[in-house]
Amino acid sequence: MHNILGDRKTIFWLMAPGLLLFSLMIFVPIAVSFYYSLTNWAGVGDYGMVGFRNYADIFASDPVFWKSLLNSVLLGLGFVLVQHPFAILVAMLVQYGGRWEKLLRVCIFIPAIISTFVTTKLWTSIFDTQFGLLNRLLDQVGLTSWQQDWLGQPHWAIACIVFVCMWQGFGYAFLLYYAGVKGVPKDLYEAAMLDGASGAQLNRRIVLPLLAPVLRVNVVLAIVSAFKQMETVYLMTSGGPANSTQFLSTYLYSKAFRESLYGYGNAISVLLVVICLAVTLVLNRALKREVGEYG
Amino acid sequence: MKTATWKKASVGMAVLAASVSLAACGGNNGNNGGNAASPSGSASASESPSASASASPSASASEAPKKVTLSFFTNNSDRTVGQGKMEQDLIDAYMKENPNVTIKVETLSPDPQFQDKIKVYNASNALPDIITSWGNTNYLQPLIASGALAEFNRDSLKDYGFVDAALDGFSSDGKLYGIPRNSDFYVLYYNKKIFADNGIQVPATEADLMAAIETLKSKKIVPIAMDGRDTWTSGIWLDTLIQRASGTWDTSKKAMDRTGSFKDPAVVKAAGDMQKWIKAGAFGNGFLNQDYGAARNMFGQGKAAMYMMGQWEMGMASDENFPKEIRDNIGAFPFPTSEGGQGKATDLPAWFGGGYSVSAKSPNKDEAIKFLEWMFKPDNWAKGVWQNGITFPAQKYDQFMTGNETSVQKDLSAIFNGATSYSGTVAQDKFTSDTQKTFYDSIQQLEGNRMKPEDFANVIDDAADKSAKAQAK
Repeated sequence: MHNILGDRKTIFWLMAPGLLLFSLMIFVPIAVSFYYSLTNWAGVGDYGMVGFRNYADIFASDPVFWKSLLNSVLLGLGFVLVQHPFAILVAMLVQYGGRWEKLLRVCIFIPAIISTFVTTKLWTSIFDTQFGLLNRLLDQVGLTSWQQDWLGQPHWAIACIVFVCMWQGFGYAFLLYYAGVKGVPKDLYEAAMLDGASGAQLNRRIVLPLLAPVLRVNVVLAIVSAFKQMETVYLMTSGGPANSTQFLSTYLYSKAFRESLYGYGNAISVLLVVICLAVTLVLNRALKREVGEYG
Repeated sequence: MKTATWKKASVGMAVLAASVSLAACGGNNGNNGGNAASPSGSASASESPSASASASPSASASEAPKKVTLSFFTNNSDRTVGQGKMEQDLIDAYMKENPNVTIKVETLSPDPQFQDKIKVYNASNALPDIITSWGNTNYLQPLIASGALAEFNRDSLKDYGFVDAALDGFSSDGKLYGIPRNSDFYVLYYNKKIFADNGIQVPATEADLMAAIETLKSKKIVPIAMDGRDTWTSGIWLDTLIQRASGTWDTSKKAMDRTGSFKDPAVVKAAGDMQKWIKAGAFGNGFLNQDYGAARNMFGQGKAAMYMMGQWEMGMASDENFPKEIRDNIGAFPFPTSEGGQGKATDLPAWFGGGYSVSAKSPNKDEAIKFLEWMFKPDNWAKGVWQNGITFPAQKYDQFMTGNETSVQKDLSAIFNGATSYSGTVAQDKFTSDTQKTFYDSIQQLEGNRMKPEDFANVIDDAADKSAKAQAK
């Protein structure tokens, strides 16, 4: 047994199929994408190599790229600073739910499993300026002055998109934190209660620090998913009005397919990969801490 | 012990069997449903019908014609109404007459998504045998340039009664690459009952229209339903306003072929007029994010008094999803004249847009061409779309007038036949893909009041220049 597992060659051959699949599905497409980003291919016909001109154009003369990057960062911040604290709070509260705990779990998770298409159509109808639920509700309550063209004004549109993304992803964030909260050993609870800790103190001083590893994972996932966000934006506003709600993925889609600038689109996608990798590395480094890990 | 293990095993097998059979169902539906990816709003949502996968009968004994399967990719998702229904009826009839031919239909709408998928198909050399196509430059030229489209024999169509300009629109270098299916033109539909109830006459001048808008706004009716999310609608409107200002379609034409320019007082006036209409509340609030389906529904359900759209929506008069009292009260009128402009209301924004093309790399190219030539026999497509009140064919249809046309059909016919000039291909369809985006973005900025008319004229002129240079190469 030892001879087999200790032999490096065996290990290599055992891992090879998985590694091959991984590289075919991930590395090869990225490499091909990088190759095309060095061309001016229009999607049909011939193309020529243009070197790094696409990248130069992106950095030097493309305000929409920076706007889309800003929007993605905004969404990431929304996730980490708004959605996650809320998810932690709810995860902590739900464990006191008693009979309702299982039901609450299911209800909270439902938006996450409904198809994105359905939820965006739902929210687009709610936000509709003339016949949408939100404006009509404001009208009924007498707050007519608060009515807005929710998806037509640039700053409101981005706020609405961030809100819908947060709403839909809430289930996943909650689930991971809930698992973390449940993973805290019972004897810690008992010890704390013996020492006279109240519910709030218990949660703040004991459960929260022990959620640190879950937090690390969740934050990285949230930020990367913020950068990858495409469906919700595309279906709600298509990046409009006038490119104000473009995200990196919708922008590269528009460049590649609407404007037939495949080389440019590929350049943006390569940059997206680089940015996500960089962010993941930085976050992993920053959040690394020696913590007593349980379970 | 044994029973517990047996129970677990049987449960496991049951789960496995269930999941495999469900996956099989999902697979079949997924293929068909997944193609109609993003339907535009309620009424037009659908999947490709099971009728298309009709069982191809086994070949008969001796002289069996070869069994052929053609793939038909169209932008008409709704197969129960309008052009989608006409297509499907003709496909079914052809399959009945020619049992050796099976035609598989794939649909996708709205148009931008459809055109994206065509690009993807073309890039992977998997273009379906028959596709919906448009005669405008930035759609057709790249496909022709990459050798994707098969040639039609123009002579074999000479008795079909096609309008010459329509065939020219689908030709390049004297070769015909598609068959046109509509004569497209742009009008304002209106709800006769709402107009009558509020004492509004059909507007002939801009002042009349503004007065009508004021009256409608006070009654909390949206004056004009407008698909603001798709900018091509505003592009055609812009071209019309430019003509209403300068009195001729040449302003836009010359600016696009660079014998003229968009930096013209008529263009600045037109841009100003657009902002004027929007400021007066012509389209209601939030129209910039309203998509095609939502606008159509708003008009069809009586929430808007008018609808800015092309003649191809005359099928609304037979759309069962709309209340009968609205269906029977749809009319149409041409764009009014502009204050201080020289264009007449009889100058019609008309072009020959949609049609079908055949993939050059298809193994069934000849069968596909044969099918299309059958489909466009005057008795088939032209008669069908005219007599069912669906749209105006690109062929002569006078011989099919029954006198039982819907009132909107009669209005549109009067507009079309009474036009003193036609616009031809509109400006936006002459841009290259990336300059077209600049054009559309500028229009959106103009409509959102974030760009001044003078700046707008400058920006689109630069885009036109860039586009012409790219196409000259």
